[in-house]
Amino acid sequence: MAYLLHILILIGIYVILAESLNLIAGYTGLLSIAHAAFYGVGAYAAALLALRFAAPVWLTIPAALVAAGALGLIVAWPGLRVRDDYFVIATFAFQIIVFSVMNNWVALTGGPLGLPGIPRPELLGWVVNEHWEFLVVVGVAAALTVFVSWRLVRSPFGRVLRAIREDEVFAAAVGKNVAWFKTTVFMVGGAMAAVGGCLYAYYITFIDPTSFTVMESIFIISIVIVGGAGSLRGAALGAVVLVVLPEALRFVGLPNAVAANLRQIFYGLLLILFMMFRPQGLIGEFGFRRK
Amino acid sequence: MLKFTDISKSFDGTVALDGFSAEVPEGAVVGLVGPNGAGKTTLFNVVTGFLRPDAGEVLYRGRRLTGIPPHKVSRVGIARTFQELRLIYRMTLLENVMLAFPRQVGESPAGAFALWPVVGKQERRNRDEAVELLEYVGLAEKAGDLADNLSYGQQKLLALVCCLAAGGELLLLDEPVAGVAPMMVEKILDLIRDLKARGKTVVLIEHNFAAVTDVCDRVIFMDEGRGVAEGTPDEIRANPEAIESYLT
Amino acid sequence: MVAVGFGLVFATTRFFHFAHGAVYTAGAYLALVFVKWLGLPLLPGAAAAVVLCAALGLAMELVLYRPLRRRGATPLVLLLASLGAYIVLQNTISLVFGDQTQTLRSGVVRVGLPVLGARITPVQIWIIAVAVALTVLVWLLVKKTRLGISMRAVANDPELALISGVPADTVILASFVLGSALAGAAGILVAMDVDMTPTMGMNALIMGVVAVIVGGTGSVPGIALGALLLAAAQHFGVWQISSKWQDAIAFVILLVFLLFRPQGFFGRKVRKAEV
Repeated sequence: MAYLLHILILIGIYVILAESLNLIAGYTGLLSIAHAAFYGVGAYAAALLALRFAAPVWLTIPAALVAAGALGLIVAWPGLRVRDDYFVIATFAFQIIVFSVMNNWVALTGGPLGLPGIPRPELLGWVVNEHWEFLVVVGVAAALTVFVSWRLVRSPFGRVLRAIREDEVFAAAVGKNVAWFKTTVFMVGGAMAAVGGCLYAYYITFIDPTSFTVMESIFIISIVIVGGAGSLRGAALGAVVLVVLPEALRFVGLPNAVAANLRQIFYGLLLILFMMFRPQGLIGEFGFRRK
Repeated sequence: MLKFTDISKSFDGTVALDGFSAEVPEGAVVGLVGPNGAGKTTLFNVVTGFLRPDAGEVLYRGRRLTGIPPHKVSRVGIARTFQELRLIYRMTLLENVMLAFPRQVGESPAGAFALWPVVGKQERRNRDEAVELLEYVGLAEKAGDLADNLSYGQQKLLALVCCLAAGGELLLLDEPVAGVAPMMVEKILDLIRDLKARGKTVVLIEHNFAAVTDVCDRVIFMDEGRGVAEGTPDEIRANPEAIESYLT
Repeated sequence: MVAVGFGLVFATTRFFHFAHGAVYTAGAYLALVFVKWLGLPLLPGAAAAVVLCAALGLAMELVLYRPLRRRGATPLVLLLASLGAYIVLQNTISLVFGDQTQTLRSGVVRVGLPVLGARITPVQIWIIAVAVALTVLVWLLVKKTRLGISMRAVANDPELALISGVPADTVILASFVLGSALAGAAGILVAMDVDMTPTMGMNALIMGVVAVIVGGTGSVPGIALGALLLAAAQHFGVWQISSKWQDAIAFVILLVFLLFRPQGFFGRKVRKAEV
């Protein structure tokens, strides 16, 4: 039972990560392999403040949002200058730099050993401790993320994002400040991912850099792609599929090391197959193709 | 209204614009003609901020345009279409037009959330205006169709509508009737004439000289990045240089 | 070497062939198979590995990239597929060979000759010699031979090349073969110097990508220069700061170039869409 709850909580966190990346990559067309960096920044911000300053939840989460927002500002900058695939490389670069900081700046982040013993969050007197309690919190957060994404996507803001994805020259010609929109969506999406990071930190009570690597970023973008870029339901679906399916592998009873590699191979193959046959994912709208 | 002074622009060694100077009076319809590679589209790109000239200045109603980015140029009241016909094909006609309206409160996350009753009202108003604009060009019944499903000529009309929605007082049209069926050509030309009647200024690039004669007050003939001749369509047609390099 | 190989593929196909890093790793491991497991002497074993690497590159182009290009895939889609290919390959290597470090080194580790205040082992001399030789060879190939000229034609303007009768597909195939062979050879050489793990490819790939962007795509000497500069900067950084930050340094350099000089030192512009 605890196992089931654990899976559901993970799904919830990945829904948050996927929906936020969907805003950036699926709706605005900015493929980013830096999302794990935002996720990690959120986790570390919350963890550090909670551990070092005993900061309460209503402080750590906004702090994480601010940190992620600042990172979003920086990451968006190259996107304003270079072509899409070069931009992916730039996000790749950011991801690795952030990871390096997490792994090497030992004084701040504890380095490879990570930060253990993160205290449980307290919401208005209620200490969130049990699995099912976390599920409630994560569930609410995920629902909120989907709601926020939905409102944004259906608003004029969302319309401009889609226009930028399809033809940013046209968008500029009708008066839209493309650079501003790109930067803003990165900040918003990044901030949302940071919330996911906070939840992760509080849930596992221990974080280390290995949860926030390039592979993790690739995993998140795979969720968006498999589920369907440019579709709210797609991102959620992708999260469910990509979290649940590999768990099925566990029941086959393979030794741990092998299972880990097989899992990765599975993701890699998914990526290839989907790009080959269905780049718009299961129920998505955008196949990273331009007319 | 629009004044070019000595505009020069080169790319990787090829000279696209070579000291181009001209003036476009307010309320006129001016045709920009010349052989391929004469620099006409480059000129449009310079005016609309997609390119920075190496030298020279563009003044719009006395105000310097050089160095202003495209979205700001649009907000000043200059709208354009593209040679390759840019539109958001995956959106409906209505969405395309509504996209173009300026000063939309809902176009920021804060606006979309905090001010959403205001946004709702503005969206409704914009939708009504969008429908009106589409009616003006006869595309209203197709408002809910994807832009991709229109005929080429209809797509060109849509692009024009987006220019109007964006609040263009000066319209720069890059080959508005090229590749369009004859019936549509008439329709588009009628539209341009009507726009002039409503006080808009139009500069159009066209290879179809009959169309140019039909609708333009003045014609500027460009070649190799320079303005070679200027005058009424008939004057240009009679101009020996123009005839030699282009009109034959 | 990795960079030049990568640059070759990138120039003709215009996308980031991430899996290149896996080919590099494969080179090392294949050599391991031939030399250690099958007992072949070093040179033939290495040569066989290199040939197989070239075949691997060939296979990827035929099975993965070409069909994708036929379906109108953008560079982005190709990059993602390439990422997938890298993941599959790297993990397969992990599965088969295990994650621990393996070695290709033969015999005792000798202290090495003193050169300019540092010590340089014979293997390292080999690496430099081979790298220089191969780089010069590739440069000559690109500049002088018909294949090389065709490659540059495709790199500069694929449509024009097609019209002029250059068989773009074959040229691309050739660039994959060549690039992959280079990567495989590089992998073997490095493995002989510092051993190998399944994830070594990622690091090498990163360096390769940065070198290509810094040096400028489409120019062999530029890329070589880029690689040298990158290595120099990294080692300088290691000397001043600490070796842990190597990767970060490389990427900061990359970002600086992307932001301010995307065409690198000698390359051509890679700015945004033209109007």
